[in-house]
Amino acid sequence: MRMIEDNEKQFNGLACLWMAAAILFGVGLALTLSGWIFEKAPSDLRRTSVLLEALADPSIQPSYVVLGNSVVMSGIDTRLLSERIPGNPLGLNLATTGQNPVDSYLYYQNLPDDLQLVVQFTLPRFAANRDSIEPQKFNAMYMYGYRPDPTTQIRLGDIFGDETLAILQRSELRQRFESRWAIQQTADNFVRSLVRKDLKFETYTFDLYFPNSGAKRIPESQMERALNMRYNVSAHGYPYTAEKSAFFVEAARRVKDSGKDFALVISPLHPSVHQRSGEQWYSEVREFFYGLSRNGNFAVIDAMDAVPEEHFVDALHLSEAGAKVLTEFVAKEIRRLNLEPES
Amino acid sequence: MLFYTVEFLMFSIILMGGLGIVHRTEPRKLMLLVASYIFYMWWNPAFILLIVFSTLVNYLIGGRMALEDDQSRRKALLVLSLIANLGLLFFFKYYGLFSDSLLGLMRIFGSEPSWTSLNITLPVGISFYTFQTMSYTIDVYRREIPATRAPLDFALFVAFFPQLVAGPIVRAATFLPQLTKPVRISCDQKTVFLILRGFAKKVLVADNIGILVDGVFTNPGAWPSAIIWLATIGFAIQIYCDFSGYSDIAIGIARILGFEFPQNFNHPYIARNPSDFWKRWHISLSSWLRDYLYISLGGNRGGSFSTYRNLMLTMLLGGLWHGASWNFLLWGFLHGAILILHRVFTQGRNTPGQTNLLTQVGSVILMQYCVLITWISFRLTDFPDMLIAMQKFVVFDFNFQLTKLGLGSLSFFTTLIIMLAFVLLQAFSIRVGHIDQYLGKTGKIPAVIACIAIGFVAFFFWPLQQAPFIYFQF
Repeated sequence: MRMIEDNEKQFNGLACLWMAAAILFGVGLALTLSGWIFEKAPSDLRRTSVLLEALADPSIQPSYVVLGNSVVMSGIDTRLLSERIPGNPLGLNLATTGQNPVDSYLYYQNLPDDLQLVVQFTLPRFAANRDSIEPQKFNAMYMYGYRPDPTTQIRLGDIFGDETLAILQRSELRQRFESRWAIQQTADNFVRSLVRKDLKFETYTFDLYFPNSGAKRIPESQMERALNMRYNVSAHGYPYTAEKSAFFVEAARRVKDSGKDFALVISPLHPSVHQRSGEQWYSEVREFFYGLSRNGNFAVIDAMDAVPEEHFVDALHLSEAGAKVLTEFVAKEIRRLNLEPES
Repeated sequence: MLFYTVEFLMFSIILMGGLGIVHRTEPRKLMLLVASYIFYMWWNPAFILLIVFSTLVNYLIGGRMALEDDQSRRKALLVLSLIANLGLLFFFKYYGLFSDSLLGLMRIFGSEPSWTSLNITLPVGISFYTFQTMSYTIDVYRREIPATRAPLDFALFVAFFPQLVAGPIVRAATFLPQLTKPVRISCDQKTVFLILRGFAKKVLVADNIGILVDGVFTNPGAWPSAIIWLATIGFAIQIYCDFSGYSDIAIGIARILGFEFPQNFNHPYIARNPSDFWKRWHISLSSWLRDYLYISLGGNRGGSFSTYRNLMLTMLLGGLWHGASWNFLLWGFLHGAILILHRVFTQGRNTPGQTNLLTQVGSVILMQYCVLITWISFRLTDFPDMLIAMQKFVVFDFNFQLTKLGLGSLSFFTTLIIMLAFVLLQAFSIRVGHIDQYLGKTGKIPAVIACIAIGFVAFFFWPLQQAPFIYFQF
């Protein structure tokens, strides 16, 4: 025993090196397995891989796509939308949770050549905040095989600066290290899939037409709080940013350069925003987006008032009936603007 | 410069390289002093002047005190040292709180002062090195240690980088004698595992749990009691792992550089009573407060009332030591009250060691319940939020909104798994002594397997958002 203690007191550089090497080996092992583990881990952003695969699949030839966040997932049924467009063209709902227009932009380079129309949703506040690419979402895309082409990198870099460019140009090694979020969320995602059967994870992940149908309305007692949390900024107006103006013009240009039409839809808002923010605020939002449409020569669909209060299940998302209302509204606007894709 | 950054890795490599070239003790000490100053200046170069000032004042006063036989002059020198040390601490740490409180009070009484509060940047680690230097002058005054005649040794004692910014508070009586011996670099399996234990506690446990804790305590009113309980237990684990993790790394690095520091934590969450808790939690501070404050106030030598008063004063000042905020004062008050209540109820009774297992377990649960309540006051600086959280913690609402769990980015279940892993590892650690010592004694193959596992887990559970050590702010 004493001998062991004496040995411990000696400087043992070799032992330290052995241990450091073993730790590095452990890190290397994790690095090597990270891609495989990422694929297997239940992830919130699994839908990303479904979308990328659909866009790369030559047997699926959509005439139009709809992009946006969970409002679009719960609010647009592309089967119904196609029915309302002459010729019943195939359309895909490529919305994902939290997908802002910059996240959507990343998909533009992968859109099929024969696609004719991109319907891009945006919330008004996106035009005012500093959000560009969310690193975790981009990491999911990267890990599922997406690689931004030079045009995407240069144009987004020009608009949003070095920070955004750095996210797009992260090395393979860095992306693998960043992908650990999926492992860290595994337990949550797994347990959630057990206790939240109402969320219909299968549909939510794999459905390319109406991924978030049947959302339940939250109790009235919680609605007021949800509205306060969601719309407390609205009352003070939005200072729209120059970079977001440049971005929307660029988004339209990117789509139109590849021979497709581009329609920007201002997402539906809960009618209580009228009382919370006032009519002046609505005028400012419209002025901003219609100004952009004139500069960028693209169509804007104003859906802010398209859905009545009873069709909101919470402050933001729509019920199935609400989805029907919004889809019909968008179809009508597409027809009015002569943007109907051919089947 | 945080211990788990590339900067610190480079710093360590350069320092070890330098120490490898220089073999004589005095140049090695000088090198350690320069390295310590660079380490500190990484945060704010200007504040090195405070350390130099504190070093000079205490070195000179200590030296002068050693030459004085006249007790009244010795006392005057001690008072001078205390004024200098506490003056710096008060100005940088407490001036803002007192001026803000005074301004608030004046406004309540209708007066609108013409002056405004200063916005003073808190020098990192000031509470730690101030208490270290005070221990030196007080010990010299009490003739418990001789004044050092080596300015380099004293400067290194004040600024030694491993424990400079967040402890443990190493007393002169512990550190200075070690500087009279040759400085030897030593590294063994046990030390490496001690450092790895510290990193794992901080990076893998504290930082990951902190995401949930921050998310819940940002708006405690929005959560049911079960989640407040989860977040409070989470914070108890977070602060323990954050702080004791730093101590482990500091003690390990100091050991590699040839210095032995005292243990700062010893499984505090199995403490059976408040007295036991303070022998296990932040031992270097609690023993400092006991030896230099509680005993100086009279300790338990007077009657019951003076003992209670001394306990309360000691804990209030212990609370204020953490920061210039009323919630820390409340935290100290609650611990003072718990200590007093414990003393009231146990006077003349058997010691807990003589009781049966059930009573012991009950004592641990009761003590930790009290500790958890105090952590709420420590964590929440906003008073209304603190009261809401405490109310939800004490009066359980039996509202289990499982449907809300797992949504958002707070990672409830991952956090639960990390907390469970922490509890199991603690149980194992208690059973085998300490994990680092257990692994330090194993053979090469188990050690290598443990290191591979640590590297593997660290890759996947390295936090997405890193946070500085909580105790840096103190």
